[in-house]
Amino acid sequence: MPTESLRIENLTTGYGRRKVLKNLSMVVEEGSVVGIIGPNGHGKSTLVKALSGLISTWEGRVFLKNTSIDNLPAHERVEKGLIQIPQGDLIFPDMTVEENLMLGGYLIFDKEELSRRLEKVYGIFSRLLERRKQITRTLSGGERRMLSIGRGLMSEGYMMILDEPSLGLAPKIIDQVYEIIAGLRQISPTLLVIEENPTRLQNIADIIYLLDDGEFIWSGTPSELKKNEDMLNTYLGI
Amino acid sequence: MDIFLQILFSGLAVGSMYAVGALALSLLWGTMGMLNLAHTTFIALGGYVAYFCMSVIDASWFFVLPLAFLSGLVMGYIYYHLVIRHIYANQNFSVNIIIASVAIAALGENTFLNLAGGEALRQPFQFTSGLKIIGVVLPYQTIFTFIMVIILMVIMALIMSKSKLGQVIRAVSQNPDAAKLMGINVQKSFAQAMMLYGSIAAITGVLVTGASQVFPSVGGDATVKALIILIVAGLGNLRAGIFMAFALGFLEMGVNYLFGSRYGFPSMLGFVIIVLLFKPNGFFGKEVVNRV
Repeated sequence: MPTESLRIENLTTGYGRRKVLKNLSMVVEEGSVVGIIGPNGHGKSTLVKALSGLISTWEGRVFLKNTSIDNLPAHERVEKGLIQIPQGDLIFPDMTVEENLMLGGYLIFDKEELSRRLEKVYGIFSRLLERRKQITRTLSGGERRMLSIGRGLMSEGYMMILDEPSLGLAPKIIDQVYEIIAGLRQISPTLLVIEENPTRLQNIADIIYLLDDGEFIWSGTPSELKKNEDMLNTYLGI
Repeated sequence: MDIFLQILFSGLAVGSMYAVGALALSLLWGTMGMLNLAHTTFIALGGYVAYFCMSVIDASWFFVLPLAFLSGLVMGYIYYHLVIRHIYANQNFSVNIIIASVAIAALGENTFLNLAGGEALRQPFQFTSGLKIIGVVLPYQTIFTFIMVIILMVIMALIMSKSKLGQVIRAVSQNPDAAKLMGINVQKSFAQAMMLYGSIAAITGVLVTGASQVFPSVGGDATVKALIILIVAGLGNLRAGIFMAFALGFLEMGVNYLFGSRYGFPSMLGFVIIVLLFKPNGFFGKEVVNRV
């Protein structure tokens, strides 16, 4: 039986008194890539925040490798290997590219190991190497996304959550980003990828969930999803 | 010639006093966005530690700065756990902390009043003589304070740019949520920043009171001047702040000598207003360019 990386049981949460996620349940098996799609404003980012601990859980449980993590603060979830690769807005704007990357390896105390990982990231993103001394607030959207992914790679975490990696990027850059995501599996085999639409996910995801109005209303393999074009049309307008 | 030297020396004395008061305040304001008006308590703490060490228990001057360092460290830690921890997570931290720190400043002042009394005590950690240059005296106290300003400034800059602690403090101040996602314990880092602040602030308290006496509200003046200096120099720029401290010191003393002592401070305020009219982000403050 495959090991469960992440298990969500009846997760309910929101902001203030506004409930955003209602009774979500899902399982991510070790070594698999799971995609979550859904229209904007229906809880995708809230789910990411609830998993990484930036907002608290109202009801339900979250398990990472069979250990409950729903009561842990965000930084302790990172220690357990759950790494979030946020959208481009969660960078450190007044630091250089290299300082941002080094903070991705904050929990690594072995200096040689750190520089080995840094070289590895620069090997993947030559653009970041060119701009290593540049202040990150001056980077373009695509460069920020690369930085965000590179910073996540520095941790070599057990499982990664990618929050809309293609958002706001030119199609050519999205291709590059997805090539890199496919390569991520060698470092961190279990991925949870959030996207607005399934186009890019179809090639890499094992299972796709459709999140609408805070609930999972459908899940299945990419080929099953292709057969359900009516459903995609209804919920996502494609 | 000796009038020029006179202005130069007293400008140096006043400037290094302003600079020393602004050092620690700039650290918190520039990084954590925390305007700490309880700065006055930490300055008084340094003064009373010096008095306690040399005049009450008759210990050597050698122990004053290490003891001030330690007591500031402890006080920063207590301050964090007593006050900051409870309001940091809430919205409007930068405004709430101003009000809370005023309360702490009042509490601190009254505590010193109860413990040590209201009268001004001679702070013994000071040099009494000076260096005579062409008939004008440059006090050793001024030279010492000036050197300490430079040393502390270099130490602070090194900590902030090179050490892991400094890097973490900057990360937390720029984006707390992103810092959490790196595995940084934001609360612990803030406590460490407060301890760093407290230790530097208490040491500067020894220096500020060294040129005068120590009494419960001794830090008030230095705090107000430090505020003015940091705003006019541009927040978060330590070197500019120190430079501005000396510039304003020379300006104030120059005006004092030329037009009489009642014009010194008003002319400094006038200068500040003019600068802010034309450069709202401060003289050396940079406009923030955000690429969206």
